[in-house]
Amino acid sequence: MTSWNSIALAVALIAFALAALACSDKGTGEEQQATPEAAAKGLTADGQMQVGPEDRCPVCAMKVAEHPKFSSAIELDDGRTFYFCGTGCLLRSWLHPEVHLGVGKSHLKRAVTRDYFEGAQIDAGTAVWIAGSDVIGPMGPALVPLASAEEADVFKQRHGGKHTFRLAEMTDDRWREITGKPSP
Amino acid sequence: MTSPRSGALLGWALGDLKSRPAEPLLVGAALTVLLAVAGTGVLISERAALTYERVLEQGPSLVLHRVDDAGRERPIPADESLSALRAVPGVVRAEGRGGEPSEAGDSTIDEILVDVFHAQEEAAIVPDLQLAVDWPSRIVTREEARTVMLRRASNRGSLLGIASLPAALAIAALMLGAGRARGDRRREIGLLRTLGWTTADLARLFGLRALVFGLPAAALGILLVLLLAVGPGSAAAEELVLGSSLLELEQLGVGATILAIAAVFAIVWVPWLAGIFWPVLRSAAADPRDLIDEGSA
Repeated sequence: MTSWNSIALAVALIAFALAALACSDKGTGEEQQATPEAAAKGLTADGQMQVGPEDRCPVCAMKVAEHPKFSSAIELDDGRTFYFCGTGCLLRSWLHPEVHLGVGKSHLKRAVTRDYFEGAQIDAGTAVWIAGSDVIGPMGPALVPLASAEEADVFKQRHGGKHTFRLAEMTDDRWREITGKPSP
Repeated sequence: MTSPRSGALLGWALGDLKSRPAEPLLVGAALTVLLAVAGTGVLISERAALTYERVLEQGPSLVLHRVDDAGRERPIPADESLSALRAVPGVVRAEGRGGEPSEAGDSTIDEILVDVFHAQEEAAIVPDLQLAVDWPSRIVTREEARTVMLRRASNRGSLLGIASLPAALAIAALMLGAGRARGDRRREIGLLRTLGWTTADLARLFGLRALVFGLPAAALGILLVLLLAVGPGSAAAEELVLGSSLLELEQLGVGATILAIAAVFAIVWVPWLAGIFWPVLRSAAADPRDLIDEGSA
């Protein structure tokens, strides 16, 4: 009988250990973010997007080719490129790449977006950004990139705009101030 | 009593219709005409809407004309106007159309086509375009053009609808005339119910009677719709629905065509079937003797 008790105790201990291990694995899995699939074709040498029909936004999973006018991109230092359906998804990923792209901030190389007026592909870092206008993007009220401060002035006369900022100024607090929502 | 078999009911229905052919013929003709007219109108309107949409997609975002105080169009000085407009932020393209070229550099154009990158810019840019040129202008955006085109088509459709009211009244009169045998129907329902027929049996009999002439009428109506709205007769029908048009209308896809015809079919058939089954359902609670008495009165 004693031996049976010992066996039962051993089985219980093993079961408990396995359950604890499973819980531990699960906990780790929730903390890690799955790395999204990078675009089939990256940016060209001069920073032009090459969005393919199957490329999906890593934030909202929409097909980027279906929203070409607000499409944007982030290139990582390892050459991988992610395309976004809109500028809001781009900025979220720029703020928290560890959440949306599965890499740290130090791996971000450059971001590309489209000038609102001309559609030309420009460096998101040099663009003047406007939030709180009447322009609507694929995901709702748009964060609008413009090629110059002069264009930004004209834009604000036509569409309003409560906030003007640069990509380098974007922080969690600024994001919250602009969108009224926490980041990411 | 056991329920009558469907084959026997169908035979009964056919015999009944053969003995009184005028009523099913009239109602069948009315159903065919209603389906053909409504279906043709809907399909041509859908084709026109699709065509307008495609034309506008390919066209410019805005069209700009110079006008005088009376609103008449005037020639536009080409070079300076185009330069001024191209300098407006948001203008992706500004091209002249029509007019007279001149070697002296003072050529004129009739209108200027302007493109912008974002559709949301079409209306927003208008004040800046007006300010950029030093003459009074009239600017039509793509959205305004779309509204005008659709309104024209819908006005024409409304006029046709009003014009077709007498025809609809005539058809209604035909159907009402065919329904004069309502008393006979009530007596028949009363008699069958005294023989033990249930409401379901009666509904099957009346449904079969309706289908015997309703299905051929529907098939003929759909055939007419296809002939008039997408087939060889479509040119004449387009002229009737839209008026003279230089546009060759786009064809709808198979799915959209089926959907439009199904919608019209449902609009015509649902009230008609309701009219067929309503007396049967209403008689369910009535005393069969009352039905016979009312029918004989």
